[in-house]
Amino acid sequence: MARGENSESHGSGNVPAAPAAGAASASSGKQAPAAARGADGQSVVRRLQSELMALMMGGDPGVSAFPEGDNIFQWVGTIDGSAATAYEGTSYRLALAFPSDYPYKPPKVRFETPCFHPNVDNHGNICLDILQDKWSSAYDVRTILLSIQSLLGEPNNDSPLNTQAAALWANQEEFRKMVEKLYKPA
Amino acid sequence: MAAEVLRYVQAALADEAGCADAHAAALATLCDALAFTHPDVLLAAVDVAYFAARLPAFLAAGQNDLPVFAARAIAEAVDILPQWAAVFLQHGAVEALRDRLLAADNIELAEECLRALDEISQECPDECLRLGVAAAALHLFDFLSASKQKMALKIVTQLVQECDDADVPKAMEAAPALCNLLQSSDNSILGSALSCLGMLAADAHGKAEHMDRLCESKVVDTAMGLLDKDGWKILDDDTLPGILALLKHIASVSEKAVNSLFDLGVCDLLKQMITCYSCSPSGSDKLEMLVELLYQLMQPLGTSGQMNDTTEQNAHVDQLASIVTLITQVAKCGALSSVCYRCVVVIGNIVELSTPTFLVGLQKTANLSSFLTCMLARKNRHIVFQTLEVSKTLLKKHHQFFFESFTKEGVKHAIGTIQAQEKNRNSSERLKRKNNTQEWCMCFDLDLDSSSTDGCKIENNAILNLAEEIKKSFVVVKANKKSPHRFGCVIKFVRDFFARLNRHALTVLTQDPDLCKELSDISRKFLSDELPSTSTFAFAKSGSAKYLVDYLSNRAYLKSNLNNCEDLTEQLKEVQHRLQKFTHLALKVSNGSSVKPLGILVDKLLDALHMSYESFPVILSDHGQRTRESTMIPLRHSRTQESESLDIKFVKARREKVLRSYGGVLPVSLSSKPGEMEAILWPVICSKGNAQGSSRLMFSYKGTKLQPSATIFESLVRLMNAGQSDIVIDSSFWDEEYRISYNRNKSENIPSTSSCNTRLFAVQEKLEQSIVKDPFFCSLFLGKLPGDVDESDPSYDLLFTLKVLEGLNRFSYQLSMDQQICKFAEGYLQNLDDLKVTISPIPQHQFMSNLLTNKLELQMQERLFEDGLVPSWCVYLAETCPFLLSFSARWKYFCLTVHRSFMGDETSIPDGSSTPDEESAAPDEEEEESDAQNEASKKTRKHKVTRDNILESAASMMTKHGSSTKTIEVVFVGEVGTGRGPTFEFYSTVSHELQRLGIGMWRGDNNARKAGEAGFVRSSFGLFPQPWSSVGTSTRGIELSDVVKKFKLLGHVVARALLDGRILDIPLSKAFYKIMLGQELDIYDIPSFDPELGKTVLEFQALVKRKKFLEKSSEKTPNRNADLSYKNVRLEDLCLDFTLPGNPDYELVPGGSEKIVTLENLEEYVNLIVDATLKSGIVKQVEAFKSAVNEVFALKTLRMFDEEEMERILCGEQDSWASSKLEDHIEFEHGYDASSPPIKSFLEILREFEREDQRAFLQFTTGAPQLPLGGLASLDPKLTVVRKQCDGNIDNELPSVNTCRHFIKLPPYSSKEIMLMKLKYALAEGLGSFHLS
Repeated sequence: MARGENSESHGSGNVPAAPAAGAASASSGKQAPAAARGADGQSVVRRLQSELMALMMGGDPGVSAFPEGDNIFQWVGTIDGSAATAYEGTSYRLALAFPSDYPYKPPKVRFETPCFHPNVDNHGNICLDILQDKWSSAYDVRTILLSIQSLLGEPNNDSPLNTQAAALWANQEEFRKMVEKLYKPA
Repeated sequence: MAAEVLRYVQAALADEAGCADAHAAALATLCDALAFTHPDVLLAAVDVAYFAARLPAFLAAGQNDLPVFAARAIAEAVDILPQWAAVFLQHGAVEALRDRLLAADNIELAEECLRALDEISQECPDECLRLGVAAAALHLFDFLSASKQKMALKIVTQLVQECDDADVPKAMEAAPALCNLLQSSDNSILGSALSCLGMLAADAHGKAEHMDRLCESKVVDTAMGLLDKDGWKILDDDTLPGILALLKHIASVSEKAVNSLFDLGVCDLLKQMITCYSCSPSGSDKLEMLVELLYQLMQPLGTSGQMNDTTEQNAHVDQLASIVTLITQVAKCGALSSVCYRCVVVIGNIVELSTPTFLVGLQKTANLSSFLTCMLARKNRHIVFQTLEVSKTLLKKHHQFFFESFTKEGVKHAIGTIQAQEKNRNSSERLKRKNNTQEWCMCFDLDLDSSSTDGCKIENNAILNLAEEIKKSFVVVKANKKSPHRFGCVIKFVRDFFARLNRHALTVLTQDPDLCKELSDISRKFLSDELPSTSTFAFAKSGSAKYLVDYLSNRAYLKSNLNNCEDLTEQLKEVQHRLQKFTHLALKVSNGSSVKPLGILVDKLLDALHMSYESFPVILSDHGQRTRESTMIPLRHSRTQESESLDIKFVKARREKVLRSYGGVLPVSLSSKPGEMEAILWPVICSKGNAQGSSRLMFSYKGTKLQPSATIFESLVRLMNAGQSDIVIDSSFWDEEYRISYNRNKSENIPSTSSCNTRLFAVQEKLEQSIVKDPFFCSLFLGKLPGDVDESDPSYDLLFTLKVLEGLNRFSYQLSMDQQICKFAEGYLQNLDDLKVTISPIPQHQFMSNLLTNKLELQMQERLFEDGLVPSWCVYLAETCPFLLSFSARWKYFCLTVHRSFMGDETSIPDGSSTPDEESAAPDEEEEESDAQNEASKKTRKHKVTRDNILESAASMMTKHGSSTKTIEVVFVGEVGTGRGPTFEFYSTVSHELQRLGIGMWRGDNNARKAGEAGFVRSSFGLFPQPWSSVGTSTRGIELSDVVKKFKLLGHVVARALLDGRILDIPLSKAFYKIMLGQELDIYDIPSFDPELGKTVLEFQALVKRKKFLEKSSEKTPNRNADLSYKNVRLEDLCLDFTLPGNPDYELVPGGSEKIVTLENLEEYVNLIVDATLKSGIVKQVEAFKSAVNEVFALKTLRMFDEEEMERILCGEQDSWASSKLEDHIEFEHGYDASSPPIKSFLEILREFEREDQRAFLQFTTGAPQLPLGGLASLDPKLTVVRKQCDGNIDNELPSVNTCRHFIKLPPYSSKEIMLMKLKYALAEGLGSFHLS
């Protein structure tokens, strides 16, 4: 069925490497005592801490993320525009909010830096299938950021949120100008 | 004194030369005198002849007021002394009045004249008619006041009613004016005009020349004008029959009228109407009229000539033939013999008028032969006789062709059966003459001279003779028939197929892959190639139902023997395997056809079921009492009413030695079963207090044992009317006293089967699959339908097969998903993303039987139905095979029977709840104020609630009145409103309050819990209880006990809303409805309310299965290198621990938050999550809910509905997208606006969508099947329709969506039909991936 969704952008070659074996044990060392359990899911905390370690150790070029302040459920991510795309040289900030049943449910991801892109609306909302109904518990922050990064260079113009951007895509030169014009790094 | 006045008047009038004023004054006095004087005085004082002579003169010649007074005087005089009418008539009063009316100079005068004529015509209608009053009365119609208009019509009615033949031409003079009145917008005028015309037509019956006269006044055109363009839909219940009766009368004689009816498209109109009324429960009488009209339409065609008719007439026959398919359907599903009979007669007439080539075509489109077989299966002799006649005619028209088709469709076989039956009947009848089983003669139903009193046309031997005659003609053909035609091959294949199924019913196919493949190949061929061309007859004859059930259930195994649990487990697995295979084949759309094999299979089975018409006998208490308004369902049984009962004398059986005899006569209610009587009798007749247990007594009537499952009443009625299918009880039945004998029940064979059952259940517990715990699978594994049924009845296997097919259709997702998981486990599927179900079930309504629905509807019209005149098949169908009955029929059944499960009943008392009796004994303060409306307060109870604290008010209301048998109405404290409005508001407010965030009832509550956040739980997939750990009793300030209380309240509210017909605004999930309906939930239900969790859990489950499979097979072939990672991630790396997702406080095992999920303990984890989500985590809440409903009425009575129907009942028919507001809440962009033609079609389509379509549409466009609270208006972003740019042929494109933005991209299709088709296709495809996408 012609459901307007972005094609999944990572093949088998792009699968996240398993987080370093030490990650889990490292996080378990940091576990809060049982009394501190309560409002926030410990399971999720453990998972997020492990992801954080993996991200820091992995060193993927052009993507990074870190919890915002003390709240492990709110992260700030950054992605750099890939070379040889209209976004080359740009760097975008994203906000990631994790639900208490993460990783069963996907985090809510939003562009903080204004982004001119066919699949991003004026408020920074992103239309990406793996953040909606194609979500799987096997995905993590790293896969999400890499997916968004590749979405920048390969938009899904069939079901645009920003129709102006979709229309302009054919003309890469003009498109680049618009990207630069609207790009307001924090 | 009056006499003096009259004398004075007489004198004044006598003065011929007197001036007009004097005369007028005298007449005025006369009028007053007449009005106020006693008739006896008048009779003595007045010289009638004198006045009668004078008054017409004044009328005719007088000026100014004089005629008015004269007319009034006549009116008054006849009014007070009707016998004077004749005198006035003699002296020409009528002529004078008529002339005045026609002269039309003065409205006041005209009205007085009308009044006078009204009085006179009441007395002397014939004379008045002859004098042309009828036409005159309508002369000034438009100028009259409303009341006088009615009077004018009344006059005409009086005149034309049953007038003499000779006077008909005169009566016809009124016809043109009456026809004009048909255009009136006033319903009562329309109605009277119609009835006048109807009488005219009845008067003119049989006289073509009169009728032609009637036709000249354009009556046909006007009447058709009223019906045309859906006009019939808005006519009221009196007018429509009037028009139909009128047309029927006209059509019966006037060829001209028939021609113009055909020209005006009467056939199309009839088609529409028949389609409509054949589906509506109360349409049977209208249906009868329509068929009658059809019949009359053919009368002139038949009489006016033979086959060599004008082409015009052939065209008419062609038009009629287009209705044949429809009529055969109506007849096949007709519960009333009269409807069927009429249909057969009509078809007979069409056949008579058609040419052979035409009939061959008709056989192909309408399958006449199959219809005949169906009709021949009816017991009614009139129907059988007529059907035989039709068969004979068909054979006469085209012998070879119809001989073959009769053989194929079973007509031949049926005729043989009838012949044998009739022979039998004749011989037995000589021995014993039965007189009380005479059936209602219908020979003259269609003739308009209903006066004929001749006996029934069908003589004793008529049927036999006819059958033999037809039989003989068969022999002739046989001799010269050579070619082995297609039919032979098909039936051979079908037979072979089922024989093969039967052979392998006991083989365990999983162990023999070759045989398995072979069987599935042949099944595929059968389902997709052979089945569509198989006739119902051949299908039924080849033992299909029996073999299918044997194959698809555990029955064959059980019959063979039951050895040990090991075997049993294997057998159950085998059955499940077969079900999966079969489901897959039956629901797969074969190439080239748009119908799923299961649909065809179900159609055939239903057709076959309709042949066993007699297994479902309707019992009516009397003719003509079927008058219950179908719209008025007495929801509550009025206990005050005396209910009908039978007097039964219980006597000891002759051979019975142990029991004592019972003396008296007992009144037995209609709903009593033998078991209930036993409970009463046993203490009295038992000599020693021994024998425990049930069924200690056996009852019999005249030597025949009474069935324990049927009511005593039903058994009696059926025994007394043996050999009849539908029964009409005559009134003498109630007065008699019946002798029923009893003896001890010696044969105790019950335990043997029950021990087998317990073993089966024990095995079932052990099976991993929890789907098999559902009631449906239970009956499959037990190999029989639940309940006490006669397994030898011809309908049993059919019902069982249908039940199995309905179940596998309903569980197709589960069965198919399970199959997919197995495939993944065994390595046939590599990727977890390929775990998809590719088949979708057929719509539930395809399982509905129109015939059984109609029969139940007919039965429910019986006055005594509520008292317990419920034949056992009704109960049985409603409980075991509810899918055969339409939703509306079941709902009506529920309404009529629910009072028996009210908790005031002795049969089912809940623990510790107050009974209704206590309630009514203690009058409460609210009750007292409504003393004035005593009548209303008998049926309703008022309760005051406060808005501020609505949930507590609701809870106290429910404790107080919850189980009351009366309707509860709500009044808000401090507000004046009362009645429906506030009550509805109350229910919807309460249902909103129960969806608040932070009350811990529903899933999704804790996710959005930011401190102090107000608002409602948003659940796109419906509300489902949030699991609560059995350890902790409070979380985040919410007490579990409070949650349980709220579920109790919800239960009460749901139950009350059901009983009182209130509507709740609460989007409960389907899974929750399933719990309500007593179904078992399993892992496959999780995706329906939490897709993300469900998807992951199912994937984990698949992984567990694969691991197990590998472990098992590695013993044989070690080291198979298969992937056991979760999408290339090690399970440990998911960092999941043993707590409930989203609820870290809920530890699945003690210390679960420290226990990490690994491949080794994944199975335990999955099982625990499923258990916590569906069972142990919600058990307290669910139990509170269920027991609360049970305090009001027995929850299990709802099991005849499915999830969707429950939602329809509880949340109402109307939807959050009220159709008028659609365009306000949808935006149109990119080339569309609200006025674009495709958008108009689109909106129309949306409005016509059923609830399920709407749900699918929402799912498709927004990703969620449900709208947020507030409906479309609160959808954010708004639903937007944009134009889809397409190259090439637009009509080949499909609509597409963007669920993030709620966009639907709609190609500008060329027509609404194409748009609908494409949309439906897209929705269906979208739904296929509903659970896992």
